[in-house]
Amino acid sequence: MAVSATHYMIVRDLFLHGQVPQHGALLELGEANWYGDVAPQAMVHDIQTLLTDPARQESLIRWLSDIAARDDDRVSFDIVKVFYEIYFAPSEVQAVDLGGTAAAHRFDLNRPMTLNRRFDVVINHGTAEHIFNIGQVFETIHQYTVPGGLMIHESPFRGWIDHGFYNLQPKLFFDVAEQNQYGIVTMIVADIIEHTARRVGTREAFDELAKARKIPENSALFTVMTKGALDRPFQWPRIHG
Amino acid sequence: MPVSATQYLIVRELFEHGLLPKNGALLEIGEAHWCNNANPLDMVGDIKRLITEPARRDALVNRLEAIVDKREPGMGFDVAQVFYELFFAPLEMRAVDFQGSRRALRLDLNGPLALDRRFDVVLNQRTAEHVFNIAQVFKTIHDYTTPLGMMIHESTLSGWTDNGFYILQPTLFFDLAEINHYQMCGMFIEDTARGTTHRITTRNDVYEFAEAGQIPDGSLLFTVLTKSAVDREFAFPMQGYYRNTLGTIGMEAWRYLR
Repeated sequence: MAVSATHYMIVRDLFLHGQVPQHGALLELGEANWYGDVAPQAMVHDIQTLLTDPARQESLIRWLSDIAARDDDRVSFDIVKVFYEIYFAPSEVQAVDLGGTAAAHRFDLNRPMTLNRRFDVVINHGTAEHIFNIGQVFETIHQYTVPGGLMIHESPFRGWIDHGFYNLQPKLFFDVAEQNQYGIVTMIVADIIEHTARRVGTREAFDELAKARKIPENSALFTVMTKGALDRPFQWPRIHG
Repeated sequence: MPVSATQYLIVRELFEHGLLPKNGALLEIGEAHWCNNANPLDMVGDIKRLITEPARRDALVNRLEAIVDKREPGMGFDVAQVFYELFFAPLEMRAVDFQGSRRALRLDLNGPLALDRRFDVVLNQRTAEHVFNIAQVFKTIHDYTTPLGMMIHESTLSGWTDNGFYILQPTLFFDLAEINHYQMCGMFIEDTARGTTHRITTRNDVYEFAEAGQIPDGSLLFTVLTKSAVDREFAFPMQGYYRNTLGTIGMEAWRYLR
C-alpha cells in the first residue's frame, strides 16, 4: 500500500490545522511504501517551511537525501518514514503486513492480534478491503488506538473492479463512527485519475454528490476519525432504515 | 430484497438443467419478496410448463392467483414463496431478516446463528453487504449449508453508492470458492439499466467486461456455488492477487482496473 500525492496532501492539510498528534506512537495496517507522485523537492520544501527547528530540518533533509542515494528494495518504505517524521514526529512506528519489510509484524488481520501497546495514530493504508474478515480489521484498529487517538483510512469507493474483496461505502464510516462515538475529522472523495479531491463531511453531502452524479468513476475515500475519550469496547454498527 | 427478473431467469435455467436441489430445506438470508415491477402472474406460464403433476400444478396456480386477488400487505413475500415452490419444492423454508414477514427469524447476522438444522439451499439476496461483520455471514452460510448443498448469492457490484456498507467484488467469490472447495455453478453480471446479463466463466472475463465498460453503475453480481461433499470448517480466503495465483492478465488487471 502506498502513500500517494492525495494521501500526502490530506495529512499535510491536517497538520496545518493542528489536527495531527505529535510525538505519539504510530501503527500502520499495511506497511506503506512511497507511490512516487510527490516530488522529493516538494518534501524538502515542506521540511524547510513547515518545521521550525533548523537542526530537525537539516537532519530530515539529510535523511531523505541518503535514502534517495540508495538503490535497494527498502527505499520506498523509508521515504514514507521521512513523511511520518515530518508530519507526526512519531516516538515509534510499527507496521502489520504479511508482505512488508523485515520490520513488519506478520499477523493475519483476519484474526485478533497481540501487540505490546496501543497507538496515537493508526493508519489503514488501503489494506482493510483485502482482508476477508474486514469487520475484525475495524475492531483491531479500535482496540489498538488510544482514547482520543487518530484513525486514518484510505479505501476504494467507486470503480476498482476486483482490486480488493470490497469497495467501502461512506455509510460504513458514518455508522462505525456513530456506534462507537468517534469524531469524523474529515472525509474526502478523491478522483484517482484526475487527482482531484472533494471534502464531504456528512451523509447529506454524500447524498447530494451522488444525486448530482459527481462521484468520480474511479474514486477513493479518505476518512479521518478520532476515538472518543472514553475507552469502550468496539461495537458493530447496524444498517440504517 | 426482491426476487429480481434476472434471479428468476438464473434459477429457472438451473432448474431446467436439473441442477437445483429438490424437496430440501431452504434458508433465506434476508427474506425475499417479489419484485414490484414484475407481474406475479407471469409465473403461471412456467408453472404450467414446468410442473408435470396436475394436482400440484393446479394447486400452485390457484395459490398464486389467490395471493394476487387478495392483494394483502406482505403479498410480495407470499409470491416469492410460490417462486420457491415452483423451482425448489422445499419441504421446509426459513428466513432470517429483521425486516421480513412474521415468518422471519429476527436474528443479528453479525454474530453466529443457532439454528436447529442445515439447509440444502441457502440464498443471500443482497443482504450480506448490509451486515458490518460480513465475513460472519459467509461463515454462517457455510455452516448451515449441507454438504453438496447450494449457495446462491446476489450482490451489488458497481455504483450503488451507500446502498450497503460494502460493494462485493467477483474475486471474493472466486477466492471463497477456492479455499472452501466450493464448485462454481454459475456467475453472472447484470447491467440493470440495459437489462442485459453476461455469464462469467473465469476471472479474466471480469477484467474484459470491466475494460469494455460492461460493468456500469447499477450492475449486480449473481454467484451460484455448491458446497463439496466433504464437510470442512469454513476458511477465510486470502485474495488471489496476494497468493500470486491470478496469472499475468489478472496481476496486470489489478493495477489498471482503477
